[in-house]
Amino acid sequence: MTQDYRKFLLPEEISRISRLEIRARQIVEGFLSGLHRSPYFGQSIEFVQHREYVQGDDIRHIDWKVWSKTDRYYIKQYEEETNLKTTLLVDLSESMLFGTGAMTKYDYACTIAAALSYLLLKQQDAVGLTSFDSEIRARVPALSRRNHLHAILSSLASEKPAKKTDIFEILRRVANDQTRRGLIVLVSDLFTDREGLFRGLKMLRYRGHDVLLLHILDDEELDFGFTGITKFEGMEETGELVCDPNSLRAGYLKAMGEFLAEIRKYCSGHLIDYQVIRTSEHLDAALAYYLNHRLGMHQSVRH
Amino acid sequence: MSNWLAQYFVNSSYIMTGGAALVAVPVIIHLINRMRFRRVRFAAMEFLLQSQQENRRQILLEQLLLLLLRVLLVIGLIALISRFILDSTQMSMFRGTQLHHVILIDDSVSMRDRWGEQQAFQEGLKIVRKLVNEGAQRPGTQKLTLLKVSDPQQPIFTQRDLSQSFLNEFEAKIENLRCSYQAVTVVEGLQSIGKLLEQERGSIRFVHLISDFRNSDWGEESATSKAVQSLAETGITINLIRVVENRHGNLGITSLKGDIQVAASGVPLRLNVGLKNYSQEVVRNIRLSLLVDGERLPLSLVFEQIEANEEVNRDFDILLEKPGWHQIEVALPEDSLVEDNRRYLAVNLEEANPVLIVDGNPSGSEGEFIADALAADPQLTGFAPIVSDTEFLRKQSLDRFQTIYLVNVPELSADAIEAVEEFVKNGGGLAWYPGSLTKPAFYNDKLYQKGKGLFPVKLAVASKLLSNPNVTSTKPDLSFSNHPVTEIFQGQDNPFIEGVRIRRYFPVADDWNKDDQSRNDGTRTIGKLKNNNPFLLEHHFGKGRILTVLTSAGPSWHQWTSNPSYVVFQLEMQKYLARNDLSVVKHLVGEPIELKLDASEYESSVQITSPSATGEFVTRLTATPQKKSKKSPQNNEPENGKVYLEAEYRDTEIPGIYQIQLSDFNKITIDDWLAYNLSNAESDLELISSQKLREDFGKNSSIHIQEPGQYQWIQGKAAGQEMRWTLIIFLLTVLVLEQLLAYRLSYHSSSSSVRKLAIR
Repeated sequence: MTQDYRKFLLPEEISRISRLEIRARQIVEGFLSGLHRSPYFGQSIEFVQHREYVQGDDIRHIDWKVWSKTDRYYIKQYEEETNLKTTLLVDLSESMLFGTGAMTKYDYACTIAAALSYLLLKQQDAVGLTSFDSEIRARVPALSRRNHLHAILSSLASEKPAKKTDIFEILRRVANDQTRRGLIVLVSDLFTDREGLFRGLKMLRYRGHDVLLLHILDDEELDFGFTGITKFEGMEETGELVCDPNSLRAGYLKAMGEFLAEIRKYCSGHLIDYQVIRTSEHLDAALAYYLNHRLGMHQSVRH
Repeated sequence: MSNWLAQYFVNSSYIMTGGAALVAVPVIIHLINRMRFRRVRFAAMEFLLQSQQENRRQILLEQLLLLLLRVLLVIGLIALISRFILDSTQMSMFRGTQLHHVILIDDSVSMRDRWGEQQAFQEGLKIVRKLVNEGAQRPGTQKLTLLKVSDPQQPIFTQRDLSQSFLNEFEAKIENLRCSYQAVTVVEGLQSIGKLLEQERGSIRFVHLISDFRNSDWGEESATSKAVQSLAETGITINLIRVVENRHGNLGITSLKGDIQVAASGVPLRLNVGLKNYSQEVVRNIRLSLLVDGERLPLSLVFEQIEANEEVNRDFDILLEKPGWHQIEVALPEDSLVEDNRRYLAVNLEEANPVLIVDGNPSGSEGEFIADALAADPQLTGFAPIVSDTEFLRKQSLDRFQTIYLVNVPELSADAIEAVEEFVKNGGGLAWYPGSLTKPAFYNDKLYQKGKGLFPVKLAVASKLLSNPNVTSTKPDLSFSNHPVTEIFQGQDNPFIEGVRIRRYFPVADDWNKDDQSRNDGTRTIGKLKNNNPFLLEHHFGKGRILTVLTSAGPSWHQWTSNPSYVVFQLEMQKYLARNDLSVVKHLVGEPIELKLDASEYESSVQITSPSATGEFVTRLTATPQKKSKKSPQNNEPENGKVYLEAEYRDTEIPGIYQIQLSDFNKITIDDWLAYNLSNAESDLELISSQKLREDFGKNSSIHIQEPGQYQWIQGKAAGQEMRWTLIIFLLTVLVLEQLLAYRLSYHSSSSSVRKLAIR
């Protein structure tokens, strides 16, 4: 199992991306100053509540001042969340299994998820993972612990893509679950119901989430370089077709172009960061390009 | 089916044996490709299906078009291989018109050129056969007209449909086709083809000219080239078909002549033969055999060396004993053109040639001197002179005489003048010798007739002494200009004529212009005295020649008779004056023999014995009265009220002696032999090069030149070169279209537009 999940976080990839940082585009609530902007001015540690000590709690957290006043053991509970809470949404539908290069889209998506987790955890942000197809397959809660990376990687490696995508339902649930504003990173090929996708994204934005859409596509999907008579068998029960790809190329590219343009247009209209990533490209290049330019694209406004 | 295919394909068997199946190949390949597909599990089916939905019709059309182009490509290739025969000009075949092949085969003598086992004319016939056989394979589409150059007015075949059934008849006629002996050019043939084809402008016309294409006939400005050009301009496709590849060396006899008019039995007859070397090499040791009446003489003439393109002439003497007609033949050994190696001459040998000498002085002996000079011994000279008086002219027929001498005649009666005029007009010779009795007034009035009579000059009133102021002068009394009669006295070594002294002569009148050129009345001054007075004059009267010597015949006025040159002069004069209607008349083969007989003398039946390849054969003709209406005014003389019978014999194809036998009403047969020889024009076998022909006709695309020994074009003929090119151009066009379409339908990875989709 350990071998499996490590394949998504290769040492060379780590070394390449380690200098990158993920910055919140919007102001997030947090206390570690410097990295993300906070809604509050000045330093403060957010105290949440007191809780009665039960056996097994760390005695270091006992609030002795309360004990001296009430003679009861209470422990102080601090907000464990960091400034940026990031949820990675990874599409595990069957279509993600397509791939003509070294990696399938699924592999690539997992690698991206791993790399982002690593980056975020490194800068002490909380990272959670939700993998889904037609329903939520696995959930890892958002934590900022270093060893949380294990949990994320294990979750990624344990799942295999199989079913269709029902993106709206997933996004709706995520939106409902995530009460705090944070960064939602959706890694998918987006071969799904587009209306549902847009509705879901809109809902996320409405809840104040910062949404990053990483659109993973294979070279062949973008270039359609097939030659010779080919029988195309659709994934996710989309039918099959025997044809000469040459004759359909122009039409295919047009349709694909329209699809990408539509998404891009929607995203730019709703302040969603959108990036198409080819599986043949180096991960770091794509991430670095994106992350470095992310802030520059839309200047955020302090509340 | 195969017949039908054969109409359109030269190699129809290709199509029969599976060429047609090849057409299905592109379709089969297409279907196989459809069946052998790759499987790909694909995610973005949505867009693929969308594309397919949108492009279904276009894809179908494009695929069908591509398939069609590929099938066309295969069809084009098959058509090319099986040699499709529907050329652009033949497109009208669909309109029901036919191809008209007009073949003009050159059958002039030069086509008898032989090399090895081959003969130019036979090679030509071989091509005709191939053409006809090829045409017969496509019945109903081809017509044939076949003409010979020697007789273009009478085609061998006219507009015959080519079919298998025609072949037998064709073969039978072709078998008997022989090359003529005539020297003819193709001009007339081409012109009559032009007339022949003029009417049928709607059809497709081919003219095939089969010839050896000799240099002398062809050339840029030659009549033949012009005829070809003008024919081509009327839209006729012309094929110049060569049958002889290289020039072959040839020797030819160009002439055989002699003074046969004075030939007499037992007298050596001097003949002259001309020989020309028509080749580029020197030839040596040529032996010329002589045949008399078909028998070879023991002697032969040897020419040691003849340079290239050189003509040599050689005299030789033969002695014939028996009076009557003889056939003389000279023959060369065989070479590439055999026909010009023989030449014929017909000689009518008289026992002696009668000559009439009229002496005006009954007691005089002037005439005797001439008689002695001509025939001191009749056996040696062959002349039989008769000396008589002027009455003879009136009373006797003069026809049998070769020549009449009028010596010292004072005057002639009117009927005598008429008889002599008739004699000379018909070709007899006349010689004048004035003397002491001559009456100049009569001569000037009745005989001179201002230049139109029998006497050439106007005489002065009396004879004159030739004054000799300086006795020691070495200047001869006589000087001669260049003339056949005095040719023998020309040159440095003529001591005899220099020694002749003339004492008295008859001067011409002062008002008679002595300059021949300014006078220009046909009278020529051949000899002059040293005082510049004319001495010897020649003029013509009708067909006859008249020589006038302005001194006495005998020694009364000079001492010439004692000089040896006198005899020589008389003999030369006699040869020159002798009836030139009997001298050699050149007849060329093909010229008809035209006879005109006096109906009062001859019977109408004529027998002509002609030479032939298998011996002689005899033809009998019946002469018919002439048709007066056609005669031109000049010829339509009253002819003394005589009725003439005419006969024409055309079959003079073969060189040799044609013997004409007439008989008069006394049943006495009269023979006349005519020698028919070949023209020299055909002996030179130098060929014009194809290169040169192309240069001449290069600009005209409807003139094609076919090399000897190559027959491929005959099969291609029907197909036509143009069709081949049309097909190739068609194939190339289809190929380019197919490639363009295939390129359009195929994938090219360099499209940068795709990349833009990914990173933006």
